[in-house]
Amino acid sequence: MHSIRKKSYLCTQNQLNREVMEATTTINNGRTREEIMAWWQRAKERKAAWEEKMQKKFDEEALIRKQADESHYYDIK
Amino acid sequence: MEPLNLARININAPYKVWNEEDAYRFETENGISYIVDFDLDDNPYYRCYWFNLTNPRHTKSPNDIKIAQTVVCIIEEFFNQNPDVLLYMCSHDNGQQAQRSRLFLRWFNGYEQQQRYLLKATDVKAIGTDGKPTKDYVALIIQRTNPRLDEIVARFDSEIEMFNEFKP
Repeated sequence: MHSIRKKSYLCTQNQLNREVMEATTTINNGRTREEIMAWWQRAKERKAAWEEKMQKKFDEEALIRKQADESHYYDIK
Repeated sequence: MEPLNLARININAPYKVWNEEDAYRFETENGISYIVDFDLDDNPYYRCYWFNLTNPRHTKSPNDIKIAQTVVCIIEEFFNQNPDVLLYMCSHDNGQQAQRSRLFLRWFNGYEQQQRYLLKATDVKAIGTDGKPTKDYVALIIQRTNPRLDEIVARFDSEIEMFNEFKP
């Protein structure tokens, strides 16, 4: 009698756990919501870092061009 | 990623494309520079790259169709060399991500492209850097001949759906 009750409790508990997982974090045999959010965030951060790097590169190029324009080194006639 | 064949790109691209530090660069007739980069994604299911495009000076170039044509040539060469998937996320610069998304769709949704590629574009709920709700725009481009097309598209759809169920 005791073992039947225990088994029934375990079944209910397993089913409950499964339902909670499905409702909160699990996605069709794949990543959890948290993993997807983290993946998305990483992609956004990498993109932002790359854009910032390109911005700096262009700023440096502009500075070099300005220095060249202002330099008398190129005033040879 | 297999490097792109610049000679092949430059046969059709109206603006000359060159390689610079693992990225691809071109300059318009108005002197505006664009840089294109492909960044390997870290999802565990299929190999794909994030397509990045930037104009670091943020100079406007309205109605320059040659920019679109050059970008399409670069993407087509990517698929010639790499049988992978591309993802595109619109930049939030100046809060113009929605306009960028529409522009990209227009660029890459010509008749010929539709025959060869499946492009899925959508918006997802997100939280901005200011903590307020915002939208991210994302597109997936995959060759119609990709043997895992259905699986990859289904996974993309289900993961995007998960974002939109998210309540901040």
